[in-house]
Amino acid sequence: MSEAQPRRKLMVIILDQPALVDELLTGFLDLGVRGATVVESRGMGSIIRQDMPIFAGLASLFPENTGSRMVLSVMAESLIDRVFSLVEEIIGGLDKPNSAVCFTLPVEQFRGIRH
Amino acid sequence: MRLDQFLRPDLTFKLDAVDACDRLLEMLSQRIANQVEGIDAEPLFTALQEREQRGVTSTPDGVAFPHAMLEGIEDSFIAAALVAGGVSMGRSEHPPCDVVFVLVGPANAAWEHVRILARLARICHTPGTLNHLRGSADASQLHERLLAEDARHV
Repeated sequence: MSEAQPRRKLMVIILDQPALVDELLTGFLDLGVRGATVVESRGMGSIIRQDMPIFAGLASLFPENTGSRMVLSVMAESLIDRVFSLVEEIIGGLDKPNSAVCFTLPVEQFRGIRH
Repeated sequence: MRLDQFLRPDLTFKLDAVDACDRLLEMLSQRIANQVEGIDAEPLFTALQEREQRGVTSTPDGVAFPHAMLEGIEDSFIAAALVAGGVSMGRSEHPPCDVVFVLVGPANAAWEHVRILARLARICHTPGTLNHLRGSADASQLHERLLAEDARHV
């Protein structure tokens, strides 16, 4: 039998301002989040605007965005509220358009050590 | 990670001009050794020097974070100093550093060390914070302002 593990969640943060990634990761370290994966990403609006001319006339429906960063981190559930607050502090409020979205997902099983 | 447990009023200084990075580190090592039981100035100075030689800890904002992990100590602490006129830490593209944080921690507490450095970096990166700190009239006010700036963050 394996030892009981702390409850974990997967935090997903999509930052519309890639330049803020450094600040976010510094904040992760400060709060005790020891690992994350950062993926260069593009939102649906960006792809539709730039790569799908059939929708060009409706471009205004979609946010204008040149790129984003998706940050994935499995972390202890006890850190989640503080990480949400950290994101709000860095972004200056999640209610602003084209700032960031973040959400959590339950982690049913976790294996592997990265650090 | 809140810094109030690591900042100490007796390790907060407002210094006159210093002409070189090594001189500054030596001076701060001596002042730390005078205040902290179990710390000897010379090994601390050597550790700080070696760390700077591996990579300068200054930033483009005129702040430096020299740091060392030492055997034989149990608790981390931060010494904070304002240096009149600033001192070059050796990286020509950075301005002279007039805000300096020396972090000292136990050799077996690497993650705590990283977290404290990250906290200091966050605080110093906040717009307005460095000017607030630089405007401190004396060491006591610098200590108070550091605690206040720390309390502003998650």
